[in-house]
Amino acid sequence: MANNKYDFIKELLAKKDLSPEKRERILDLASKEFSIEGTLEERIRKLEEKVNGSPNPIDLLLGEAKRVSIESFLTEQKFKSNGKEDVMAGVANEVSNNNEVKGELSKPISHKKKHHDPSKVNKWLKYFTINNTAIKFSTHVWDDDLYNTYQDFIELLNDERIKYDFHSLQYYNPDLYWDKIYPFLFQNKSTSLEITGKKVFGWGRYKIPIGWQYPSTVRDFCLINFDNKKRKSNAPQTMNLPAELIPQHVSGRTIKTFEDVIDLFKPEIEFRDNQLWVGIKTALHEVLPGHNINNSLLNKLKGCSFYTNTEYVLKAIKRIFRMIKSRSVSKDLQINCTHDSIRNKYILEILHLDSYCEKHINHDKLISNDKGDLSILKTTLLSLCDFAIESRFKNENGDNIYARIDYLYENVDSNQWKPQVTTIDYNPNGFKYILEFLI
Amino acid sequence: MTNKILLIEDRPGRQAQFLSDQEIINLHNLEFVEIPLKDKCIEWIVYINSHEFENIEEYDLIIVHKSSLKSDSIKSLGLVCKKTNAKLILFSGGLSQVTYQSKDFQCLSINSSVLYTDKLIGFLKTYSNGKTASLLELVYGEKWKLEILLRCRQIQTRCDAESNIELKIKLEDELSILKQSIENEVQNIDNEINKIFLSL
Repeated sequence: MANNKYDFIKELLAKKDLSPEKRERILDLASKEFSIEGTLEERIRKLEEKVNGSPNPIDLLLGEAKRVSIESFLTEQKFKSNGKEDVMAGVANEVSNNNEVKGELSKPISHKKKHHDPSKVNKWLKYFTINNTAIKFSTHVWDDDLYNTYQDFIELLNDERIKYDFHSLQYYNPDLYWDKIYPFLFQNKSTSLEITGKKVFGWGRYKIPIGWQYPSTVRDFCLINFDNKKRKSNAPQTMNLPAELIPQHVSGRTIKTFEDVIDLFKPEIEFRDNQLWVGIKTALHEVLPGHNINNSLLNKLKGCSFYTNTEYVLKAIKRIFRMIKSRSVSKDLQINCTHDSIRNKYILEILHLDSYCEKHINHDKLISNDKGDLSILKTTLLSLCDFAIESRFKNENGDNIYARIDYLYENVDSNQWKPQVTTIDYNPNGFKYILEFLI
Repeated sequence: MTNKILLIEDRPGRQAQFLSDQEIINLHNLEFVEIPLKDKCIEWIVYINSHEFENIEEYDLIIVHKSSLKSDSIKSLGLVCKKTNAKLILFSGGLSQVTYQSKDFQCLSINSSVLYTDKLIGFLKTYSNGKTASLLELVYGEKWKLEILLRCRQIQTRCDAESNIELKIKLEDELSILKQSIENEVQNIDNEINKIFLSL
């Protein structure tokens, strides 16, 4: 039973048998209803937060307001697609029996608007370093005269969310938006999933239970200690966390203040100093013990700093390691990271030496969008980096050929997510995974 | 002869976060330290990011806000330092580790809070007089070698006892960074510590 007009609209929109005409009519009426309340920005926010539980005004206006879990989405897609290619559909088989994949992918996702464009994600993330943005100062120490009140800062932050269209990040890397940036920066109340107990508020790999706007702890602290006092010693970063908000599972660190929380957010969105090296070395220990690795090449990963969804990149790398483990023909490995100064990229190459594919170049597992580990890698790395493999395959005549298959590349979305196959005139010396990250 | 120092800080407000008003005045009054302000500071950053290093070659120590430079400019700046035998300190609010290398030239990367301390002015004075053996003196003080040896020993103990793989690797990394600056002493840390204590 609907409690208010928002719930009522939500219930109507959730009806599966709703025809497009009826849906359009409902939205038309809803937009008239909302039009009398406040500014455009306020109306958008209301549409976002009331109807969907999380912001998604564009979807709403397009009749795609229902946010679905990957499982239900995939079931729906499978039913609808009739063999039509879709990058997300590839995980369907895996989701049902792989807990880690569930962890990776059971996120709210708007399925009709996904894009691969690492440059856009890179641009969004670089707002965390661009001078004088409130986004930047959400992770940097404040100068003394920067903000008079907490509200001054939050208003700028919310303005920048709209100005820089942060909301659209969900269509490029949903996890980065919904599980990191939105709850840390922008969320100011419980979502409907949280209210109903289907999800517990928390962001990042440690599920940190506090952000800048939710719960109201930081605001409450500032009202008493910071607002109009212009004393950096009382800035929100200095706030001691209440006991119930201290994350319990962060090993090796003491989390005491809001600044400690901010310090946990930074490595969610950026590999800095030697963090990429640490992450990969840890994954090697966990997944590929007993394999031989060229350490001097591995050490080139030290100092490779770039913005990305670090959790998802490391998840993808772990998956690659599990793929290597399953091909026991060789235990030799090379991992290298080179800087392409012309394209301003880091090229990360993981080479399983002397391990060749030997499959037909058009084999389903290589080319299909809905089968196997490679399709999952595509989903995990969406808009984080370009992704390709190189190895030896078989052609139509059964002859050996060396080839490269690009899975995530510029304009792959407008090319129906089709992998691009190119023959190469060199031996890659095994099975090579190539991830290209914009700096 | 006095060593010349260039300090490029595009957010002077940051100095006020860490230094007292008097310390800021004292810093800006050091005649051997060039601290370009406002448009001049922007000019310097544009020069470096355009790989124009002509004016920078006269300085013996360059201290620059890392985030104001493009990554390829930092590399090029490093090459200039190698050529002119200058030393480089990169600072940023986002750096979580102290990293130091002395292979081609001395380069120190530190958090802004490590740069702007009450040690800074003393360090700059000593440096300008040519009495600084290592940039690490800025971080660890005059007894930097002893400080690093003690830290190495402490981290090694923690590392040996750590069961979490990721933390263990982080500690090993921290250790390897520290050891770069005490390559000769690292073989027998306990002996070296004792030697220094006895010499005090």
